[in-house]
Amino acid sequence: MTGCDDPSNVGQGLLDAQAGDTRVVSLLPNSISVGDRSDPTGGNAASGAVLSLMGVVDDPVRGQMTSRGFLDFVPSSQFGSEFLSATVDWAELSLNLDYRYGDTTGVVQFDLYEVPSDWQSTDVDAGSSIDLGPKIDSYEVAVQEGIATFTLPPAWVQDYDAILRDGSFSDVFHGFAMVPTQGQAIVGFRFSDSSLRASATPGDTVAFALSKVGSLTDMPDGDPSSGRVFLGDGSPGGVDIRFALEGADFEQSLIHRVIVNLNPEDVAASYPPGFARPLPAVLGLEAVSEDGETRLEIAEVAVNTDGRFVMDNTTLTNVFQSANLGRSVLDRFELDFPSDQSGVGFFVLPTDSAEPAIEALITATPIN
Amino acid sequence: MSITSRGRSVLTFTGLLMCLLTADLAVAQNSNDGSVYTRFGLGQRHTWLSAKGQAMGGGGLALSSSLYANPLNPASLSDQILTRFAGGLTYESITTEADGFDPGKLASGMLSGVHLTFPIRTNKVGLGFSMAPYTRVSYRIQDVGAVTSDPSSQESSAIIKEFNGNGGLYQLTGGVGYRFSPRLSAGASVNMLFGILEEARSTIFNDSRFVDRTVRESTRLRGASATIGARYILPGLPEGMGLVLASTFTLPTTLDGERSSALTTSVGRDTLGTTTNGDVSLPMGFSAGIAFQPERRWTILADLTWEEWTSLESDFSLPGVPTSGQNTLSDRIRVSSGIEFWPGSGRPFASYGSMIAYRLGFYSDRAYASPVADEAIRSVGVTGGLSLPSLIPGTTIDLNIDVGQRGQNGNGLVKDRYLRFGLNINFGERWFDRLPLG
Repeated sequence: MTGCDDPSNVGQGLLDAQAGDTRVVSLLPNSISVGDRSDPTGGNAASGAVLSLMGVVDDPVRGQMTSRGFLDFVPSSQFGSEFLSATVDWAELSLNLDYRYGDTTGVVQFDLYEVPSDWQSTDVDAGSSIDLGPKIDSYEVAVQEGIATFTLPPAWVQDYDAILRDGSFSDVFHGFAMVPTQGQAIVGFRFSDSSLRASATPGDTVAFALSKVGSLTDMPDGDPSSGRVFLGDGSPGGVDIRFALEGADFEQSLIHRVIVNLNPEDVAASYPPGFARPLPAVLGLEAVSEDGETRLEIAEVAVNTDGRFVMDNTTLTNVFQSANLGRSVLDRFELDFPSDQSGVGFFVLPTDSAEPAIEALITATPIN
Repeated sequence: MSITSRGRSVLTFTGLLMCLLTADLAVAQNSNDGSVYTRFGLGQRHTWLSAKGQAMGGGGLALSSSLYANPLNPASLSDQILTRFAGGLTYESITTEADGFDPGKLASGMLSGVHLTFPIRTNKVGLGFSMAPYTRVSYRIQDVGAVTSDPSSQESSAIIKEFNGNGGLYQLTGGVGYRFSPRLSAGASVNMLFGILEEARSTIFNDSRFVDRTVRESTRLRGASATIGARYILPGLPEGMGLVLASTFTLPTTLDGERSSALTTSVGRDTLGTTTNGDVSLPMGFSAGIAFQPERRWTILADLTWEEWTSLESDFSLPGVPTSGQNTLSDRIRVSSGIEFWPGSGRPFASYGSMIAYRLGFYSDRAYASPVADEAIRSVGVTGGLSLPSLIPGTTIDLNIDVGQRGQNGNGLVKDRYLRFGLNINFGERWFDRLPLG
């Protein structure tokens, strides 16, 4: 036999003493700190970073940033016998420049190096290191979008004649490194329309497709004690956030919804006119265990029209709930940028501002 | 010994009914659409003596009849001729109201009780087993409101807070009665008490951005108590007249318990904290009853029950049970009286209409727990019933009704007006007869 009913709120007055009110609590992080998670900066045609960044810029807010770019190529097709049987006498890098950060009116000078050993794009992150081989030549590139070409010196072409025509090219050749020497911009070269081109006489001109990219950028992390940290794309250290969700800091509650607002400081006024500063459009949030081994992807959100990132989903709510009950192995939240957003743009997160950069709005009902 | 064929059929039917009642018991424990007053203490106290007594104000301690067993007074188990099985269900409809609120309507069903009794030696020694609710928790209250979920946009979302409770304690009793003389019987029984009291508080949003959550607290209790009873038929009355006095005394006891809490959502359950163990003391109780038959067709009852609930102690926090000072507990006092008119009594060949018994009664019951200090919660009601004989001698179908009111408006309290219907089946059959040539 089951009940049928028209339940009402009659009798609620007899329950009030034990019924906590549902309310919205604004909770600020008890720590915002520089993390140890390096942003993945390597990529191939299938996944990961899509740009190889190169250049140097003295950012008015963050300070000097220096990016070294790495490129590797594979034959784009089976080459014809006219090329394979001839001698290669010309080669150039043809790169699609479609990312600019900094002064867009100048040039970036750089040295081109060989990469002496194999490297895996999936292993490359902002904290990696890749050895440099012999220097090939010095170049400069205008900070303008479009195809930039860099003719390789005849001596290098002569040295690599046989390798360029050999079927084992991919095993023997490990790519180029671009190391900036002077400039006021960082540029990025994209996979599409980028290639290593070579020609033989007599014979055809052939193309080696860009197969791997990588970027290593030196940039200041920011110091929480200085009142701000940088949440940057391509940074060797991410940003960790911790909320006090247990014990006396936050009573045991039923947590129904959590909205995390990330409201970066507006630093546009610090930059001179003409300074290009593309910012990441998508931000990710992960919950991470103390040892970093367990990671739970919570959300990837696009920036709002007002420049804020708003994270609001049930995964986030459940992570807060578990932490509040003391049942979570997760220790902190990490902010990151999806690796297919390659760049050096960053946000400034004040750590001691009256206007909190990060705030969690928690809809909760006390259990007791 | 053998079982007669009719006995086998009744046994089969009884088994089926037991299964149905057991299934009903499980479901009824889950229904939670009763009075908010069931929330307090260990739940609302229930007593079920028999279908006959239920229609006569809920008493009947002194009753003894070849047609009805009365296992809650073990002394009456001595007076048995037939093996008897009885069981009943109750449907309850409540209109509840309080100052400042729209009335609410609630309905639920529950097991009234079942019992099986049989003579060891006819009208000398008998055994009985019964199971019936001892307390019942069954309530559900909803409050609809709104919460501003995003202060920056002043976005508001509807919220439903639901409080419900269900469960209660059951009493499984096994007793024996012995007739020491034609006038004096005595008996004793052991009462196993067990059950789960469950309270839940849910916060519900009709919005997928919110996670609905429920905190559920379960308290499992078990223990045993004992009851002794006596029944005495007064001598010296004229032929056809009878006066019976009866009383029982139930010893206090302590129930072992464990309490656990859990957080549940639509996708899972998470235990909160650790399970805690503790005791709950149950009080002693005393009941007395009188049954008077001025002649065979009329029976008049009066009963009094007193239970010393002010001595209740609990290691667990219980609604309405003070942890210090507040006087929200009362000794339970229940008084009832009833009358039966059975035109066909003693006339086995009377018409069917004359064989129907008509019953009427009233009662007043002061609950042992109250949500408000110094405000006792009383139930007063009028009962009635019909006992319809079946084609099988000794078997009846009893229809009962109970109309009453509990609590009152004002002082933060709630007034419940309830209507209960009871359907009871009462089998009597001669079992275990020795075959004439056996």
